[in-house]
Amino acid sequence: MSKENFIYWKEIVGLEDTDFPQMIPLDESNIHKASIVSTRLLPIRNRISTNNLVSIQVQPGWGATTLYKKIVSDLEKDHMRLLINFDFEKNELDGSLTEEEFEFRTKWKLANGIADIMREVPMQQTYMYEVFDFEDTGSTPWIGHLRKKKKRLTECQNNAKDFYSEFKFFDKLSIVDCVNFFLANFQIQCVFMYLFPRKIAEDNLLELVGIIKNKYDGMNITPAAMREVYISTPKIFKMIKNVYTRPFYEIPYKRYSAAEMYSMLVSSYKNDDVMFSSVNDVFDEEFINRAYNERLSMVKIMEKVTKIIEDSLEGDTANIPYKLTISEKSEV
Amino acid sequence: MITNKDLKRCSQQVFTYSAQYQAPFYGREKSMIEMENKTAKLNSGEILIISQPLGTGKTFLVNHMIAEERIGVPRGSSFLTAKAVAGNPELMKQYPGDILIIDEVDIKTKYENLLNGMNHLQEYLDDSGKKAIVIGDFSLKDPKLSSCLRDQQTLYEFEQIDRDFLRGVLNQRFQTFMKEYLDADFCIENVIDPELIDYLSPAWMKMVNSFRGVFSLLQSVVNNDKYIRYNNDKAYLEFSMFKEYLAADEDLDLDEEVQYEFLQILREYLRSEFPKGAGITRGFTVDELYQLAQMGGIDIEYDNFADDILYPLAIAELLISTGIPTYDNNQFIRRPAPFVPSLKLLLSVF
Repeated sequence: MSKENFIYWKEIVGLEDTDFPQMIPLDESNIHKASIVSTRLLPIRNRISTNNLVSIQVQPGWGATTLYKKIVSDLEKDHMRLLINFDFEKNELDGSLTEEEFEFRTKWKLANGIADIMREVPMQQTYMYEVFDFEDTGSTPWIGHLRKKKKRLTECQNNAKDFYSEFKFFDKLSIVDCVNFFLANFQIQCVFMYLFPRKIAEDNLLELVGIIKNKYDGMNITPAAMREVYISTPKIFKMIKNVYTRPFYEIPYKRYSAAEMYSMLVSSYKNDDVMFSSVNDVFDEEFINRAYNERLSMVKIMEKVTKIIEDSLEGDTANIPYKLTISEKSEV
Repeated sequence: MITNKDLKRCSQQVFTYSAQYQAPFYGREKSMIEMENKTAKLNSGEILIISQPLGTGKTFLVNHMIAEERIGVPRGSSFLTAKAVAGNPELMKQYPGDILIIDEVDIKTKYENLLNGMNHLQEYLDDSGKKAIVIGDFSLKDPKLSSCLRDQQTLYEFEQIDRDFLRGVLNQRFQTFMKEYLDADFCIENVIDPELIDYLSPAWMKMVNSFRGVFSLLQSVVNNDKYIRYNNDKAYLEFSMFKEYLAADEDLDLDEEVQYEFLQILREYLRSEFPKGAGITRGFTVDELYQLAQMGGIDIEYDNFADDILYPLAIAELLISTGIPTYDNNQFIRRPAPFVPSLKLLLSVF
């Protein structure tokens, strides 16, 4: 009965097509809704600015993916930084990644990223032309050439042969040479960010670590040219550190509080189409306070919230309130 | 006098753990002599094996020998890896000179790639008559892997990190990268607490202690404003800073309660039997640790003990494997017994 009442309540308030109270997953288009306080983000940005190696360790089920997307979104707005990001949660590390493929993917992102920056920011012409093989014969202006190159980049996103044939600069130079070049001639710093899945076969994880080591270890990278940022669970990071120890600045990302989770809920359901102006109008934060447990994941906490809601909605439909508030009898 | 500011500015060079800053080579005279002799005497198809733990300076040694022209490998040669050779044996044909160098034959590589890599290498050496130097960790001591390579020589001399070696390396680094800041009578104890040097180079960890680990730790602490502030105070690295730094990682992220229980038992054992690590001469076997667990009241089957308790503790950097990685039951056992306690574990029982 209470499950049906919950569905009924959702219909009353206009949440029937949602998985409320589960948070709405955010993607690149709506990551701006991610309600992550600046007191959390600012230290991360500071550390990325200061340290070559940063490890952000997020407990499993506590928002690593959203945090990653949020940092990506922030860094992409910074034209002094070129972000090369790998989401290994989305593009699984299944053991098929070779060193050549990794190099190609990295160089493609370097090319794509620097092309985007060049469209927005005027930089030293000679070097811009060198990167994209521009010859000023008077027939095509530089910006037209850049647009064509951007189009070609999209076309050869999955074709290494075409990419290297079209973009000779990236064929000729190693990744390290590219990042040094960008710093020396454009004052642009490259940030390599990796999101690791919470569960991954050790074989595949360590093979990636081996690839990264072979590409960058001992290479002559100008310190300011490159940053590496790893976002993972603490366990995954320890597995990485175990076989390839480096002086990472480690940021243990604290679990969100109940208040923060409520804020996220309010933010993610903010929508002009809903019948209420804020989730706060229809749903009390005490539900989350009651369900909150650091040992659970955020999803599990919200499942618990669902149970508490359903328990509170036992009885006649006529008695279901518009705003859900916690009653004394709502215990799990 | 070296100030905190000076040290922070130079920490990446002074405590470099890779070839990035061309740190000067130090020590390992016996290793160099043996390597030079053995490489010179390699016949067609023969292989020199360098099998030592990760981060102990194997690649640095080989690069130094090449730079000094003490082995017949052209300067500037980059090394092949086991994985690359496994995926594309043709790469070996492009390698210059008579002596191939295959690096990264270690636990970072899937076992299947290690095996295929070594098999391809042997085939190529048979066909071409060339020679090889193979660099890796203790995986190379695994009979299943080493039997792929027929005519082997082993580099036996490889000076382990002891107090004198570490002290010498640190001294040389400071002399090289911070010369202008040093007083005439500089010695390393002016900037690093002798107790800290001892702590970083314990005798019982010699077999597995790595320069990469030591220098990463030094760099991490120096870069942390909590321990070394950016000011003109005299720089001095104290043992207490490192103890605090390592203890700050409170969340060990062990999954199971039983792992924490065993950790507690192990801590008590170390505290009572091996205070500050004194007396540890070798790694603990699975049997010994299992007996300890049983005496402490932990109820677990012997067959599950290593996987469920010891391996997670090794991942959490509390135990360090000194055994030979091997492949068993479709699994690459990367961190086998015997185990020694890590510096982190030992600090927690000081």
